[in-house]
Amino acid sequence: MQTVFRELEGKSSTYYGLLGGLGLLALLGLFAAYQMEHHGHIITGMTNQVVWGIPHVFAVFLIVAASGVLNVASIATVFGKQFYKPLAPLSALLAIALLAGGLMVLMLDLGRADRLIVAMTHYNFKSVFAWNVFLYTGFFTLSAIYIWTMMDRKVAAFNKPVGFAAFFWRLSLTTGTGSIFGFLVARQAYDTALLAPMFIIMSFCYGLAVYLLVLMAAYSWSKRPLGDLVIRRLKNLLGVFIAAVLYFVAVYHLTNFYFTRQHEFERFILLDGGIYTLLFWIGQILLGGVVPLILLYAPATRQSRSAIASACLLVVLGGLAQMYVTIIGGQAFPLQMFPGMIESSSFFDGVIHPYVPSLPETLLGLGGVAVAGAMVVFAIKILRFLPESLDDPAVTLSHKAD
Amino acid sequence: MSDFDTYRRRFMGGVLGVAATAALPAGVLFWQTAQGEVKDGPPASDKVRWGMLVDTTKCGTGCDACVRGCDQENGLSGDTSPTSPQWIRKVQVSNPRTGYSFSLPMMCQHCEEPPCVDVCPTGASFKRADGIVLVDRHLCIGCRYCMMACPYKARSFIHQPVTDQLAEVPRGIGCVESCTFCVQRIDAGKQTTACQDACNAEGHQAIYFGNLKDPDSEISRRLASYRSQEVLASLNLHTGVRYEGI
Amino acid sequence: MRRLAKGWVKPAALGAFLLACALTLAYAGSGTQESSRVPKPNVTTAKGEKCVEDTEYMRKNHMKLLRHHRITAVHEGDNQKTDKYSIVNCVNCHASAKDNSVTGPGDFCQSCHAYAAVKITCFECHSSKPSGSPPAFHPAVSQGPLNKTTRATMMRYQAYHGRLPNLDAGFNAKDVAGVIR
Repeated sequence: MQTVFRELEGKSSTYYGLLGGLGLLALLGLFAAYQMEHHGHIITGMTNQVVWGIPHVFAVFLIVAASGVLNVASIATVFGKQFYKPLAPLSALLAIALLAGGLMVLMLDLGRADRLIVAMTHYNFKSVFAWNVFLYTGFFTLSAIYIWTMMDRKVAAFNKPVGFAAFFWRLSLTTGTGSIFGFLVARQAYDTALLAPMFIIMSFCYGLAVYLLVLMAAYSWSKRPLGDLVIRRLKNLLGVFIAAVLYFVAVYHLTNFYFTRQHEFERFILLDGGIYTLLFWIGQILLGGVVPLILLYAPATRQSRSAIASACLLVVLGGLAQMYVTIIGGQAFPLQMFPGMIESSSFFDGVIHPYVPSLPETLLGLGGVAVAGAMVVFAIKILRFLPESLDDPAVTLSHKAD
Repeated sequence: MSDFDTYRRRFMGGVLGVAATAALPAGVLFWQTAQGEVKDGPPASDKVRWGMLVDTTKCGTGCDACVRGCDQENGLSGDTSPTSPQWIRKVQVSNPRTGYSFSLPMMCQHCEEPPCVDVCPTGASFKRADGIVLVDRHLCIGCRYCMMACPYKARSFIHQPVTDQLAEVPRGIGCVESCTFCVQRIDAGKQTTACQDACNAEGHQAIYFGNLKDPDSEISRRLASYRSQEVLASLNLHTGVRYEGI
Repeated sequence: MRRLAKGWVKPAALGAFLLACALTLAYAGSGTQESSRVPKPNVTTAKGEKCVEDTEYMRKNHMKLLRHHRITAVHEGDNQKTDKYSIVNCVNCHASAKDNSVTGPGDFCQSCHAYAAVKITCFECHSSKPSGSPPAFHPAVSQGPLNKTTRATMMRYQAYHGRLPNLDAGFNAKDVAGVIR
């Protein structure tokens, strides 16, 4: 039996309210970007010490999640699990939407956003950012073609090769995203090859959390059936990914403990870094890792839809906390130009660099999320991304046992 | 397929066709705007490598004449707020275990293998043939990746519109900048930097500047006779700025 | 809808619309029309007898010259005092006597560019005033912790520029406002 895909009705007040709300948030983000472009970054909290702030936290999260959300489609195509085939189109749509939102934030935060044409015509191929121009554009193209092979029966034969290409492409893309930081020898928080695979695992985790959230929301609000089989398989997979992320974080910090020269930095993140310590332990580890694992596996909660949705939301929030600690915490800790010495200067050497997010940059970051959301909400109404039914009989019949 | 579907398909096809046709001249125009052809001019030569030597034993802890000189030469405000650019700064360093302390001016180190050049996506951060590391502000998009990459935190970002720049030193909003070894003076034939002149005017004579590839230059002779070090030498960046007494 | 699917109506309407657009543009582009709202450009110079190239050449090619030159100037070096194509030297000659700038209302660069509605971004970074001009903020305003008195500032100015600033020039930050934003 073939899965029947159908567009969302999309006429209810909830739908228009959601679309309108997301549109409004996106507009606010664009207005904030205009203010930043007009008055300069002086109106944000970013300084010469903390040069990448909240916009980058949101942007990198969205980009990492975009790459990971395509995982669901890859499991169907690359790993041959037919069970996931009905879930694939939404996965590819989310990939495009999240990446678009993240890139929008990144590009609007540029000091000279009017020079994007320069960025697209002049390349220094030693720079990860230059590769990213091609990696991201290629990702858009491949995901779009992927959707085409899923929806148009005439090109369905290309589904597998395009799926493979998209899989390897996004591994390169996420390696690149992790290497943006991993290649920086200057800062003690970065300068490690571990960041590339860690970002890949994080992408799987955050992408699947976003996917599950969107799936549950879409089906619950459009009153389409979503069975326990689908939920159970996805949430078990999510649990594995959360555990893997915790593993990578543990290895990262344990290795740092072995290097005496990293001890001060570890002390800063894990003990006396104020907001960064809080976000690390409470945000990233507890709320982003331990609590979701409990919610997803404990007998009391693992069957409850609301518990699973909460777990997904906590994973997303934990992911944002992780990005904040990595990106901003990594910049807040001062550079060690004279290891072991105490430095001080008029340029804030030797002191923790303060950073307070401002309204314009927060609106810009949220605007990117809103654009991604609005794209998804709009797309599922005009094209057939969602199966009519994902209840247990429908998904069992649509594939052979695997 | 209904008539409406046919109509819809043809309409979409038509719209895409018009859009593609319109995009072509727009694309050509934008591409032209981004280009510029290279013409031969008086080139900076790789027979020269500009370098600096700072004798920190002569560098006074309270003195910041070099900073004032740089500010004046390059039209900087001298403000020290977190968003104000500082091309050069005095750093006080002390050893908590031995009690020894010293100070030194820190600026762009003009590395031979600059991390900032590696990470710049457009190639705006580049190393000139004579070793000076500069930001081509025509290409800089203000992504600040070079600021993340610099181990010396040498670069500054301009956070607001600039209206009082000097004619010789163009600087503007949204771009990244750092010490240029007073390139406007070097290209005009002067062989000293503003920080060096200011330090000499104060009577400290702590800064030497010259051609590292010329074995007879004052800086080369001094480098060959006295011990000097790079900051963060273990990074193997082979900086153009070296220090005595650190 | 079914009626509209008839072959010729839509393409004909589209074609008529495009033709109307093209005719309007052609009419607007015909050079003999003069709008009274936009003042004709003022192409005076304050100093020098003639430009480094002749006027017609400059009219057509100044942008190309600037684009060529800026790459070599930055990447290969540029002696601003002797290089005839340096933008510093353009501004040195073309800055108006009235407000010492090329971007004030009616000034050299601004007047043509406003007339042609082409935005210049050069002067977001490049100074619109000649070399040796005092900065836009009044020298009496402190430039930082060291310049605590007007006299100290004046002395620094004189030491650097070799002369005292011309405080009667009457310039202010609005000079660059017309073209930049």
